[in-house]
Amino acid sequence: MDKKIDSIIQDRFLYQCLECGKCTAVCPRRLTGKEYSPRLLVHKVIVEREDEAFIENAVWECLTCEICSEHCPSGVQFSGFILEMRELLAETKGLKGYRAHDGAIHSWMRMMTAPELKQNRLDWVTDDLKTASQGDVAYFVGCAPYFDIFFAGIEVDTLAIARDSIRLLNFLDIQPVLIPDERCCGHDLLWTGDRENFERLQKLNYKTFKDAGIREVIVSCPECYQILSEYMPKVIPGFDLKITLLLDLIQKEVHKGGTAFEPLKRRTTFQDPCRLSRMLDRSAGPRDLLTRIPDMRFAEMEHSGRNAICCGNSAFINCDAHSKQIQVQRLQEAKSTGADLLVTACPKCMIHLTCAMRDRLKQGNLKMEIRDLMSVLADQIKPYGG
Amino acid sequence: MKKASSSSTPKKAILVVGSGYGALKVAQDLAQSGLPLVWVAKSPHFLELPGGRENFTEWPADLNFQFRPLYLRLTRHPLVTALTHAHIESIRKDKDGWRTVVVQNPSYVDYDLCTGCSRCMEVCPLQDSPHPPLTRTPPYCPSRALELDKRQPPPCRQACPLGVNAQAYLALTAASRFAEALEVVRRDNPLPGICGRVCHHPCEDVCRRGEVDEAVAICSVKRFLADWELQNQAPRLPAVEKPPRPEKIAVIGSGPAGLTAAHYLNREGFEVTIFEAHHEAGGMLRMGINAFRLPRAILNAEIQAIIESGVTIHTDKPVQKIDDLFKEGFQAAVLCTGAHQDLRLNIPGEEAGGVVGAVEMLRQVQEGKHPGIKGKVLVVGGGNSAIDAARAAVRLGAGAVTLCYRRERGEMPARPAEVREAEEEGILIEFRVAPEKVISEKGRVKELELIRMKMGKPDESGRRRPEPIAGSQFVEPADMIIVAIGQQPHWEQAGVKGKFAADSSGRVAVNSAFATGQPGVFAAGDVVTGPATVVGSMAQGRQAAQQVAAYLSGKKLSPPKFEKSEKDQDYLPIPEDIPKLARTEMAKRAAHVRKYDFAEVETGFTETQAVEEAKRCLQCASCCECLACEAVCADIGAIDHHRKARRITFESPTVIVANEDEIPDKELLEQEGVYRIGDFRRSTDIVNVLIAGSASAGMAMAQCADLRTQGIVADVKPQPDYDENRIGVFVCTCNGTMAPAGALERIRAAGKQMPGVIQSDLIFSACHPRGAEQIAKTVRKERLGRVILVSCVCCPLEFQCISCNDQRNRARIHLFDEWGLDRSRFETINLRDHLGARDLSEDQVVEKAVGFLREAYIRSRFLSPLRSGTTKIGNRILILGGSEVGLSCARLLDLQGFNVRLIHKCTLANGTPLPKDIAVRPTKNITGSNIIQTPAAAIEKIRGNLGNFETTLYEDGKRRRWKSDVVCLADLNLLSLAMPVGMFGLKKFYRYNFAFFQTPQIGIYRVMPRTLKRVSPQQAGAALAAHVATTAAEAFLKDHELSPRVDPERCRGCGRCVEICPFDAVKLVPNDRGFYTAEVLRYNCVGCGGCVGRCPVTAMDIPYFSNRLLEEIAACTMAQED
Repeated sequence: MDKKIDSIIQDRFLYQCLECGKCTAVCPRRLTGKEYSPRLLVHKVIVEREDEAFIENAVWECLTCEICSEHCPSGVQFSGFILEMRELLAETKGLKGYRAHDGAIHSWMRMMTAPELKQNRLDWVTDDLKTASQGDVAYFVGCAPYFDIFFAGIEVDTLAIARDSIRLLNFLDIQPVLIPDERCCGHDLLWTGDRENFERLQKLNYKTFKDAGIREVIVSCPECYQILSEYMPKVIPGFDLKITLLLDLIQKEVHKGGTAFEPLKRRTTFQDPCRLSRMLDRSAGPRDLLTRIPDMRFAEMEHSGRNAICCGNSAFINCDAHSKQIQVQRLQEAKSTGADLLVTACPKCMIHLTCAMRDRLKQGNLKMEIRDLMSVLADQIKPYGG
Repeated sequence: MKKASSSSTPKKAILVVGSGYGALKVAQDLAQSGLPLVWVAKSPHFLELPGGRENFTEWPADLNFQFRPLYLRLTRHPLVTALTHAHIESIRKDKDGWRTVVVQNPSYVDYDLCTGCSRCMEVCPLQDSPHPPLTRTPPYCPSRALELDKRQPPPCRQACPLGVNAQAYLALTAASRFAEALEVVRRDNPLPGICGRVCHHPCEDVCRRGEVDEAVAICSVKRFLADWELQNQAPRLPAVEKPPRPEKIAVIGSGPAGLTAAHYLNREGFEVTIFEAHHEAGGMLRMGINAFRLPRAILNAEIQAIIESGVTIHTDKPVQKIDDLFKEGFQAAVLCTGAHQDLRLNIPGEEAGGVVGAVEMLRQVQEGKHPGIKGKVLVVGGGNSAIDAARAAVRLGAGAVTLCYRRERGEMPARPAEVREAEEEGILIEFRVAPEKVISEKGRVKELELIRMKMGKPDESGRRRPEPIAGSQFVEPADMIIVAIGQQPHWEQAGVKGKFAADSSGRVAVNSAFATGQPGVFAAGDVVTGPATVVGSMAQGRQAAQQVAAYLSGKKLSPPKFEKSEKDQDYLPIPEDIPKLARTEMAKRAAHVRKYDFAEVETGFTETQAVEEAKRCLQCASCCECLACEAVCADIGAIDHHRKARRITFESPTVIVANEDEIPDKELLEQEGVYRIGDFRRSTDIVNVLIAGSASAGMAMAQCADLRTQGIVADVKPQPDYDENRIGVFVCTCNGTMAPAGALERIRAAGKQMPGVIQSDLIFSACHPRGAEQIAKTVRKERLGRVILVSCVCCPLEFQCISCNDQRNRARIHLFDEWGLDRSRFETINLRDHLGARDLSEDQVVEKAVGFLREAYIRSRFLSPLRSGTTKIGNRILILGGSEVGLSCARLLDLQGFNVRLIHKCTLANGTPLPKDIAVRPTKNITGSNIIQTPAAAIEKIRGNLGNFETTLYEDGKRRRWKSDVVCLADLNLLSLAMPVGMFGLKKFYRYNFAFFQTPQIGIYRVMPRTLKRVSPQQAGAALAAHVATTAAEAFLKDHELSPRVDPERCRGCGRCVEICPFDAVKLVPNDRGFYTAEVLRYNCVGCGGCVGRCPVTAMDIPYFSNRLLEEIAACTMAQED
């Protein structure tokens, strides 16, 4: 095990750590008073590895939002380090970290690794959406049909994102194939250390795409995109699919000309998903598109772009009072921009922030409309001159 | 059920009389409001309904089970003295209230100790009879206590001079348990084989079976038992259990009295020596009774048994001077020399040769001397000696034997059976003749002159006195005359000289302690009484022995074991349809054969005969006192057949009568301070009775405020933080009934094998005080941080559910309340129920138990501290509505010292129109009280919780906020403030608790219209006052120990828990993070765990079945499926 840790430290450049503490100083969890410090974790894992309890606990605490790496002067790949440590610890000591919703979400993700699984996941497709039963371009729906049911109680409509994404694709004259036995991308399993089941999902999904004759997969969710574009190729030898982020596709089309937007008289602000802005370096894209909508007044939050603060939780583990505090602060930041519409680009951000908004006693000062970028764009986009 | 510990009886308490639901409700309200009560009921349990269950209009099948938790809680409540089988002996008014004397019948089965193991029932020989003496209370009563039906001692036992328990040995014989039956006989009679043959069995004379057909052949059954033993082994007396004593005692004479006295003295531990003048021991048994009636082998064997038990017998040792015995070192002497001197006829010619005394003649026969019998023999007399002598004469070759008796056949003292046998052997009997003169020739008898008699008036013996008929003399030729008209003690013959008085008949005078005039010398048997029966002499010997023992111990003798009762005999009634069944008689050898030898005439019962005959016994006294149950209950000690009734005297300021048939004097009901639940009741509807109970409790409370105790919650010292990795396993054997001994040992050993288990013990009973002591001491000594208790206890919680019972409850009271162990460190397995009544092999039992043990072992790792603590509340009561209900409630609470504020006329601030209702009758101010009164107000809202309510209202147009601890809605218009729509599904819950005034918010109470249809408004107010007092009088509420804890680090304050809780037990409080954290109001919480399941981030958990444990269970299950 020690050897393995040594190699992780090596690969993730932990030896370059100067112990300056900038990571801890910007860590959202630390800033809400949690006894957690990325700097100390790096220190311990290098020189005090016998303090296993500390290390183990800290490894599961991280939000993997990567804001620490953003500020690190030495290029320590902290999230990568956490991911690999979680895989290692899960393998040797079992899956840890307290799972939100009693682990139901992780359970269904693992259930999806069953090869014979029969899913009813396309009921939501309405007649106005133009999809193809065969073709070489697929739209990856991901977990939306599951979240939709699970989070109906807090009135989060994750399927709206899927519908609006298809509407956007249709606008671009693309009729994507929707694959009925597609599975979860496995993002949350990967980031909670369950490598085994994560890889199973990759193989199953890849086989499904190939069996359906798909050559390009369009993805709207930044987490799915990260998995399909970065991690699936590492699992699948000879991977030869084209993975496209819908945001990129739209940006490209808009830049080509020929499209315009209906005016929208709203004050908006944007919650950067950490996967999108920092890990995929796409923070400019949403702003580029949103600011093209006539009449809309866009305001940045105090922390935005690559410096944005996480929605409070990742991969549905370790959700707690600190998560709530991050969310409350984030919503207060959004409120203080004067915006009445909060746009985000990741269903997780939407779920987590909506949950926090629903606080029984703080509803009055936290509540604001929250929509996915795809939904906003789908509603406003129109042909140029049309 | 009965409470046996007398220490718990209070000097001053409210008296509650009668059982039933009304009484139960009274007890609940009084006890839970901190008032002590003595609860007296004649019935064996408190759920017996006055007037019977059929009088109740409503009887849902599950209702009794709904009362179960309440019943268990109350009967073990520290303020309740619950007395079943009890009645009021006297009750009279004095300056402090009612001075009451209660008598509780003896509790033969101690309710506080009985573990319900049922072993007593298993060993009871009468358990399959139509009236089993041991019964349980009916299944609907959670006490499930054992009752022992014990009556007066049966007539047979009372008639026996020795008090031998015939009923018990018949019961055991009927069950073919001969050895035990014989043991019962030997408790009171060391000579069963002898008595089984020669006893005159007065027991049979009084046998109630005789009222049906014929008396049971008790004596023959006893003989069978002795014979049965002799077939297998020599008779053996039970070993002497008492420690040896240094004193030596001499017994003079080895007849029935001497042998018996020696036997009982020996059992007391004394060194006993019998001195016998003759060559062989036995006294009159040997000298006066023919071998064909009492075979010498039997006699010798039973004497030998006495010798083997430790008594020394010196034969051929006449005692000349008693004083010499004392010089030889004896500290006491018992004179049992009997009455061997034949009485003389005192008629002319008596000195002629050929005239002999019967005893003299029988002695010669015994000594092998032929007394020269030939020709015609006349025997004078009608007793057993006469018959014995006559029958001996037949066997010795007499030509003809005639018995001459001066009265009628029916008046013969001889046993009729023997008379019959004698006649079968050819003996003739002349009745109503008396000898007048012996006519002799050459100094030898030739004829006897007799005179005919007629029967005159009854003499002092009750028999008619024979009177000679003048001139009826006649002469009867005789070769020999045997005189058998009685005997008397004879000094010179016995050779004893002593300094004590004797009367003209030679009988030694003794006082009631069997002491003669000479210190240390006692006398018993025929030497005291003159000739009497074998059993009578034995009884004398035994009583003398007790007196000697007392004399040597310097003690006064305690009264005999049972007192013969003069009272009505409360025996089991004889069933009218009992089939008649003839008495079994022993087979006899044919007369024409037996009359030529001295071999035994009667052949005894076969086993079948004995069992069938014993089954004829009516078992008059129900419990036969064979004491088999006491033996199996020895460790538990719950059964004691000798407990006495107890008398309890106390003062009660008020009396509540739930059943008027149970009070001695109906006039009591008219007195002030006496409440009758019946007064409040319009019908026999169960809910009416409950409310009536509450109403009478409410009224009674107002007069007893000074009796109220506060803070009865014991201060449990925190247990030291023992090491969680030191585990103890305790397996209850339930007095050996849990499983076969081998299986229990294997279960124990399996426990010991588990890692971390320091101690694994078998305990005889987990619910017994000593069992709990054993556990508690081991836990402390071994510093056990986890305990697994394998018994019938299902959970360690301070809580009774509908499947609880008294034993389970008691085990927890002992372990946690009395010994102060930490219940949160206990994991329990109800192995009892799991094994059930199924017929499992030992291997299956062990497999099952070890499986449960393993699971409990896993569970024990997930135990965490339970809530404990109290929440203080004040005594500010706000009553909304000056209706009769409100006024009555306010007045009664004010009398109890509560801080009452009353608003007479209430409206709703939102202007809801007022419905017309019976209870809304605002009344004028109450004078002379401390109640703060407000004439009118418009109520806007009530917020808060018990102990902290804030009522917003408008008084004279001004907005006010009033604080109170409890709010009572005595005005029906305000119900909407208490009962939000959608809460009606909880009705069953309230019903279950019998809390009729409850609203979803604990601390707000209301009166429903339907309640006012049951009782008057005033009574409803009293009931409401009782309800408020039970909540507030103790000034605290105990936390629900299962209430969840909230992890403030995790709680997101999302409020899902608040949404799901039906009891308003969760509220959100602001935290310093800018949002809220959930907090559980522990006294509102019922521990259902709904919020725990709802929490999205597992910030809530319950201590007993924690999330971690459930995860572990799920993981284990999944692992097994893989």
